[in-house]
Amino acid sequence: MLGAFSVGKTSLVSRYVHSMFSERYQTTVGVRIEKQQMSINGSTLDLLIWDLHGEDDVHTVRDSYLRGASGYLLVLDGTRRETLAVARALKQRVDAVLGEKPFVALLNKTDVRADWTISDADVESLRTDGWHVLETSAKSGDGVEKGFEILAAQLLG
Amino acid sequence: MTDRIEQPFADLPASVCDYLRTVCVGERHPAYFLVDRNGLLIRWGGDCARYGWAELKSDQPASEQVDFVEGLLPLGTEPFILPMASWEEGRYVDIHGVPSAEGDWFLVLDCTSMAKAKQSIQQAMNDMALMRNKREALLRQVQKDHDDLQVMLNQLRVITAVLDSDGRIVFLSDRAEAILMESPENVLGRRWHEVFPVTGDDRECLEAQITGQVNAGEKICLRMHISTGRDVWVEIDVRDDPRKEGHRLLYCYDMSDVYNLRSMLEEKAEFCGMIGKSASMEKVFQMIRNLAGLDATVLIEGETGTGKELVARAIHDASSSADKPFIVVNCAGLSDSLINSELFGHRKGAFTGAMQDQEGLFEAANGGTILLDEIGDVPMNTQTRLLRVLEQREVVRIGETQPRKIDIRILAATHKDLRQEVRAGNFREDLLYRIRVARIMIPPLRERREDIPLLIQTFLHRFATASGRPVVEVDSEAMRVMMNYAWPGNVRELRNAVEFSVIGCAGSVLKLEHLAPEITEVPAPPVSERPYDVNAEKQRILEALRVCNGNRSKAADVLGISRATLYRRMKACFIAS
Repeated sequence: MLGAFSVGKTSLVSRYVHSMFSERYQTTVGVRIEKQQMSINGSTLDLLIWDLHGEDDVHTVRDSYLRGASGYLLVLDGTRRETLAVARALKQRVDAVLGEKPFVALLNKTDVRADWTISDADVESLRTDGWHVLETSAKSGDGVEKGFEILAAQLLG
Repeated sequence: MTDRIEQPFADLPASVCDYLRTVCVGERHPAYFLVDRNGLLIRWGGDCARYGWAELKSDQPASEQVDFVEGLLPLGTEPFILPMASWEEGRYVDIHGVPSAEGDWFLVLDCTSMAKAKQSIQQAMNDMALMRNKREALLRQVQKDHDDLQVMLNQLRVITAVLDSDGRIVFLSDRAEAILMESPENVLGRRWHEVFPVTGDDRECLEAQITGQVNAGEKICLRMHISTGRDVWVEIDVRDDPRKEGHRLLYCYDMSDVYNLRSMLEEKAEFCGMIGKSASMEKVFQMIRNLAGLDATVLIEGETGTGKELVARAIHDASSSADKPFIVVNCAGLSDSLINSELFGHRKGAFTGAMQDQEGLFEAANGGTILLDEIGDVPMNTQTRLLRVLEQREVVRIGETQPRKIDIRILAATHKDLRQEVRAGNFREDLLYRIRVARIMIPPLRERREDIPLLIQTFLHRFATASGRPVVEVDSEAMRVMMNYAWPGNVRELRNAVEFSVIGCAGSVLKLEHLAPEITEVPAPPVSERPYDVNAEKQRILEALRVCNGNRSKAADVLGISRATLYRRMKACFIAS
């Protein structure tokens, strides 16, 4: 799970693994490792989810956290346009460390769409660059499972 | 707005003692694993049980026994460290990976309770960043709202100004630049009267509201003399600034277009002092224009108070003799003995008291126009002499025999039906035909009621301005009553009624209670149906004369009638002149 700080990475994992959501924002320090088994196209897949701390002015994601990753979910916060640039930078970093890996961009916080500052044109621009963009809400659960499933399908494919 | 933003705070679960214990004593609880190049677990040691790995098997894949190893594969050749990894709530480790010369790997877990403190600090920093983000978004929204408001203000053609308690401008909207020709930046700190170019009464009126000498709340209509020489008509609304005591808000509305349109409308509705836009008055105005260029004698007919003298003056003013004399002779006001001498003049010694040669009013009006008002009241013998003047254009002074040539235009006015007077033997028929070459009938007010609102508004503005009263409009009930009233005294009576009402009105709206009682009481019957009470009329005239110390002009004003009508009624009531 990669993205700027406070985009909702831990909340997405919590929603997907534990079907829970908390309004309280608690920052992640380091990495939190979760396991989740899922079934896709008749196959069983064990996902070892590494929820990394958010990228911000002080903390940058260490390359060592990225080692061994088979794919990743790149999370953006629709209400903060600056998370778009962070996502692009992280994508470049992963490409440099691991080479091109399967990934899905999750445009999170659809429950507060009225406050979004990332526009349709921005999303269109990402898609033009070959990104698979999915809108999600960790709060309502919309699109969360689908996001993980799409990534899993790409990993298997 | 910024005052409302809550400052971020950090909730630090770790105390200073935690730091000291961690740094000085340490609670590291290390554990280690030896993994070969194929990922099989060879050996382990330390406090593995503390992390939940109590039953480990050698020569089995490490990734199937230790949670995090799967995420590290393949291990590569470079040492690494994963700080602050956790897979259980509240327990963090740093994972160190060190390769051996043989290609095996040592994985060392190093627990530290510094994690909570680090997390709290990181939480606070992220909270602050989020707060800063929200604050910047809020400020952007405030700025946008401010810009939107500014644009709207400018579109509304309103100058908005904020004055401090000293009358100095602390804010002026951009619209000022278009109207006042002053840039808002250049006027800040200057006093309002240096920026708003108002003078005289206008300035005093505005100052009174700004300083609170009079209660604000009513718009003031002012004329501002802009530096470019242009006059701008504005309405200014002065309000208290609800945000700061002593500060004033000025909303200045540009009403120039409205004023100019209204002026054009009034200009169209007013002709030489006569007001009306009804079809009948339009006809009168057109007749005046048509007759002004001619030299024909004109008979002006109309009830008292309809403005016969105004019509005569309009004909004179529109004629080529406008710069020559215009003399009004009130024939009803002259006694039989005086009228000949006044009109035709006399020679010294012609009669007792004729101390010197005296030219008459016909000669005095030579080159110009003479109006014979109330011509129906001229005595018979004078009518004969008038006939000669009209036919020969010459006068003979009393006591002389030689006629004197005169070049005058003669206008006559009457409220009487002269045909009736001819039939009654009071007026010469041939004189009637002589003076009635052209005739203008002025309609009574009751026959052009559509002009009443316009007349009321005109008189209201005129008297409110003259008296300094703030009356600007008439409420619907008062207007209804005035529209229904018969107005036997016609426009003159209406004018006096409005003046009376303005004097009694303290507010901005003229209401029913401000009208004279005779207007609000039982509707007056049409003039033709009104019984004429000679005694009552006599008492009314005598009272007016007494109040005015015998001054007939003032008495006529008090009674709401012209001097000519006053003389005529005095005669009818047998009041000696």
